[in-house]
Amino acid sequence: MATNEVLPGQPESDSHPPQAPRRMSGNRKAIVVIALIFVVVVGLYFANRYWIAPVTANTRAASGNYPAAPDFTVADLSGQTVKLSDYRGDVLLLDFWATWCGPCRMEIPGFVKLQDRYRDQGFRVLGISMDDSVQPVHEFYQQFHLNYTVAMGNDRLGELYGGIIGLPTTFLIGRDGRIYDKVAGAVDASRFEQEIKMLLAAKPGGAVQDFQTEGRSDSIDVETPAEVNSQVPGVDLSKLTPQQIAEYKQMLTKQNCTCGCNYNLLDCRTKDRSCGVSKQIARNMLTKMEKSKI
Amino acid sequence: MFSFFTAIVPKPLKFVLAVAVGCLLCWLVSSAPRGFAQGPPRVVEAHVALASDGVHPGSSQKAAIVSSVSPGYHINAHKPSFDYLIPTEVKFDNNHAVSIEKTRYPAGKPQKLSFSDDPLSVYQGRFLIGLDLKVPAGITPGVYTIKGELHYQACNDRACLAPSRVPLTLTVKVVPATRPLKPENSAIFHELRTIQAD
Repeated sequence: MATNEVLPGQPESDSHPPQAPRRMSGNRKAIVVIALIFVVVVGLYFANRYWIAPVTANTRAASGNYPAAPDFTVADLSGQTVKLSDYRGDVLLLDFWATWCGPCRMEIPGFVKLQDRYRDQGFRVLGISMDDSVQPVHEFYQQFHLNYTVAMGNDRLGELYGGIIGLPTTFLIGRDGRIYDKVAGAVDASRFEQEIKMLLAAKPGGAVQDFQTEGRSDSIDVETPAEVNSQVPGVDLSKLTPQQIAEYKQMLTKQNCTCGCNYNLLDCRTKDRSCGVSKQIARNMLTKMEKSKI
Repeated sequence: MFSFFTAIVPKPLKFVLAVAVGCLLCWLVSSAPRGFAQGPPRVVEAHVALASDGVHPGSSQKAAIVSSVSPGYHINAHKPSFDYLIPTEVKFDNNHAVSIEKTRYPAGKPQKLSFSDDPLSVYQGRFLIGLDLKVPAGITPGVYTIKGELHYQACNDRACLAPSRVPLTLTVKVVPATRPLKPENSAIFHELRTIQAD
């Protein structure tokens, strides 16, 4: 019997053998795979950027993890001493800025308006200028009619507040002296208004319940004076003996920082105090060293 | 769609892709966007290029600083738009062997930014700074090195980084007058000739 002959009871269509499916060529397969990977990666990036990360930030805030704002003493433009503790009981907007920073100059008029609007309710703005000299800050103060205290900052103060990498960086501190929000980069001052109202509603010295940030926030990492003033900046060596400190510093010279600076870890810490990479590696090495001594 | 994907991808590659996507998911969920992440980003890179493989005693040589600014950032031009802005500037150590007769900065490009009503004169992406070098007539042939820095202050459209600097090393090879010189980096110096100076 020929292969194409129809058997009794068999439908005619069964007499035609099924055609083999077309197979995709190797090149087309590769292109499709690469395109799918690209779509997945881009999709995941935007999902994280606009959905997952903001939820993460708000969850951190809602869990009540608000560190105490490190106290400091600085001089205002007339040379008078200004301490953070002078503002205890007020809601404070702490603004790190500089006269050479365009985004800072754009943001500051909004802070002037907020100071006017909420001064009577216990709201204060304190500007910390990171300029090298007072003269340009004086001129700016007068030109922009600032209505709040401006003091001169320095790198050590920036490190106390976790390292001020970019300007402006703004902190919102509640009546209880805790940092409730940190924003790196210029934003419209209205972004802070709802948060200021929430913090003003708290009793003096009392924590704020259910605080919610109004937009994207940055992680709040503060340092202690022991970390800032350490022989290895950013690492608290107060629990080590002098011999252990020498041994630890020796360890740091034997490993290079991976930030791209070509320095060993100790040099990177001392020459580039703001490097978060060497700071984290150095802290991890100290933890390992302390555990091995136990 | 998923069955289509699984149909065309070979098994070993499916496993690798699954692991890669899993790792990517873990990384993305664990990291929240930050202003400047850990430590200031290094947004400017620069190195020195020379127009020839040597220089004769008593002669001049051209050099160029080839710089690049990371995407999304800008640095102020050497002549910035406003007095309060920190300009880009090249500084080299004083050296008796090699003197820098002239530094040629490119004109900045006007850029409208969200924080300024007027456009700012800035450098973005790749740009070149020209140097005219001179060596004295009585200099002994040999290799001479001068250290320098490119000073800059970078911003993106929301924030500014602290003023910073990139180290530069200028290495000049002085050869006897009888030795012919070979041109180098022709494309860079051709481009430098066409750039409008500041």
